[in-house]
Amino acid sequence: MPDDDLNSEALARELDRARRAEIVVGIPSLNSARTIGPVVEAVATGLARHFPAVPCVILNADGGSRDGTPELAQHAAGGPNPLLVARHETRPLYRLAAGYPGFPGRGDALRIVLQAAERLGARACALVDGDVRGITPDWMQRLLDPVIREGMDFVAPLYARHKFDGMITTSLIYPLTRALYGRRVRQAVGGHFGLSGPFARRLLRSGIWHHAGALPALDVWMCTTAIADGLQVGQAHLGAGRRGTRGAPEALSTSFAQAVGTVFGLMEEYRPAWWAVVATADVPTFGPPQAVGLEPVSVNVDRMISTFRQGVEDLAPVWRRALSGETCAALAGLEGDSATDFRFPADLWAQAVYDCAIAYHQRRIPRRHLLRAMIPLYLGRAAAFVLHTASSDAAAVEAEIEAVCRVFEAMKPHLLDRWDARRP
Amino acid sequence: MNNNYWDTEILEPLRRFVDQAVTFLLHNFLAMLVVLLVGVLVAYTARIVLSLGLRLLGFDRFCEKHGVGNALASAGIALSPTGVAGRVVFWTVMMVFLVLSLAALDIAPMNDLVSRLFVFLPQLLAALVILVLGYVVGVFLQRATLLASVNAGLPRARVLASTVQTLVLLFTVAMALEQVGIGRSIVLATFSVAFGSVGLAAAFAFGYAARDFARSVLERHLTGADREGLGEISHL
Repeated sequence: MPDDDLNSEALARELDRARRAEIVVGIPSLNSARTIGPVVEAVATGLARHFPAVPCVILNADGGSRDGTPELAQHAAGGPNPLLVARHETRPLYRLAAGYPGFPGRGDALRIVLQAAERLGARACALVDGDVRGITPDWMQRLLDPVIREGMDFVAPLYARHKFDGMITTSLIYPLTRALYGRRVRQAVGGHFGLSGPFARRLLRSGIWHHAGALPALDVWMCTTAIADGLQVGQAHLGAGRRGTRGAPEALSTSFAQAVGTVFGLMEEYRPAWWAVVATADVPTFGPPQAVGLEPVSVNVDRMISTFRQGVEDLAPVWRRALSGETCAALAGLEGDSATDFRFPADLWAQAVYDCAIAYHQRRIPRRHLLRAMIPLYLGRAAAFVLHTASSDAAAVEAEIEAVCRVFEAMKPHLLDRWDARRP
Repeated sequence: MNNNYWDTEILEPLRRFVDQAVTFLLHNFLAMLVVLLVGVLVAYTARIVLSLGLRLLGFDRFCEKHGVGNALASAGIALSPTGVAGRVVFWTVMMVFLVLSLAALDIAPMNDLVSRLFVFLPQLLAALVILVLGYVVGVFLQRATLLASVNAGLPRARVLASTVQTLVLLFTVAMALEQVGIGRSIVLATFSVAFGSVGLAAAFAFGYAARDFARSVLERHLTGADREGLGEISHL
């Protein structure tokens, strides 16, 4: 990736003309003709309504759409704030890669937005995907107000989701990051966020842009970086809005590996920030909360349990290299349960996750293999969660998630004791 | 006459043989032992110097960073990269000195064998490298196949993974044999027939027995609906 992506003459001219902006809102897009209009309208309306006296710039960072997305975005833009278009090429492999939610080449788009924010001297910056569903003008207030008026450096989204949605987040990423860093940010994998100008500059100086490999899960990376740097982190209720999935659900193995791999990778980088943390605390939360979805949805629990059981049977040699003997024995003991009374205790789950984090750190097996070997474990735990909370209301689901988090916190010594131990 | 005959026909050749044997033992065999001993010393020294140098240079950290440590671990090799390099150097030096020690015996057929061995040595080393790489790649692909199959819910995942590993190993052995020039045409023909048959059999089996499965997999992937067959939920 070049050091400066704002190399288009037209864009540079537009940025020079804008000269200065207090707020920059980035909208990454790729072939989002069907949704880009409402998204741009919501952003433009939100900025005009909530920040009427503040100079703002909307930047559509398009990854090479062939359906006229940038033109539609410009057409939809209205109000006092200009919409600029930055075109960047998404590499063919990224275009083909299905997996982590969001756009292929989203990292390039984020970097362009951060660079524009830096050049314009913005105090606050927000990012919303061009194919997000359910966006309202109030999102701008929820994501940007805490930055401008409350001094937050990073504002994570907080969606009202169905109780079975986002189980990688609720069963792994949230409990793990909370136990590690002591901050209760519920949806680090959120997709849309607000951040301060200084934090945007800090992110731009990061080394990740110069790595030859794939970028990490950007939202997890930004959130963890903000927490580890001791910055002000908050979260904002965004209602039922959902990040775009381009009409297809994300591929589980890819999205799991990218999100969890990012958390594990950052544990190495930010060890001083999490090692001594023993207590956790809430972060400021903005906007009115909305209820968790409880309507019946189709979840193939049998398939989840069958994948877990196949993992117990077939992946035993792989798990033995990564997990402790005690964990392997306990997992094998779960195998005999029937689908209706299948249980995967939270303490065993936490122990397995910590073992995997240690194995990742100590490179006991190739990291890519390790992350994929965790998927049957995750599906087992997710199935147990679905069965356990099948008839629970929102409060009971929250209580269950809270209980899992407390187990992760209580078992953190398991991680600390083994992190630096010699490879067996 | 009898005494002359005994001296010239029996004792003289025996004396010559004993002289030659003593000369051989005192000169050639001793020389061979000395060469071997020097070889052991040189090999050990090379191994120690190399290990120290690599440790000073942080070779293990470098390998860890670039995935070599992972590859060794994948192949079930418990040694550190420095340990592996040290052993490779030790045995390479030993092999050279072993051949030299055979030359020190100064036996005509052995000399011929030694000169052939020296010509053959690079090919043998290349074949060994191919075998080692093939083994590492085979183990890696075996695990990758196993993980992908289990996560996709495919039955007989272990059989599938072992098949992949076996095919890679067979292919590697064929390449190694090709390298050392053993049965080139037979190896080529055998593997062409074997791979062709396996491919054709798999195509027939999939086409006839798994049409519905193939259709459902393709539909799921092309439409993007419920890709993993886990339901309507979003995991992230």
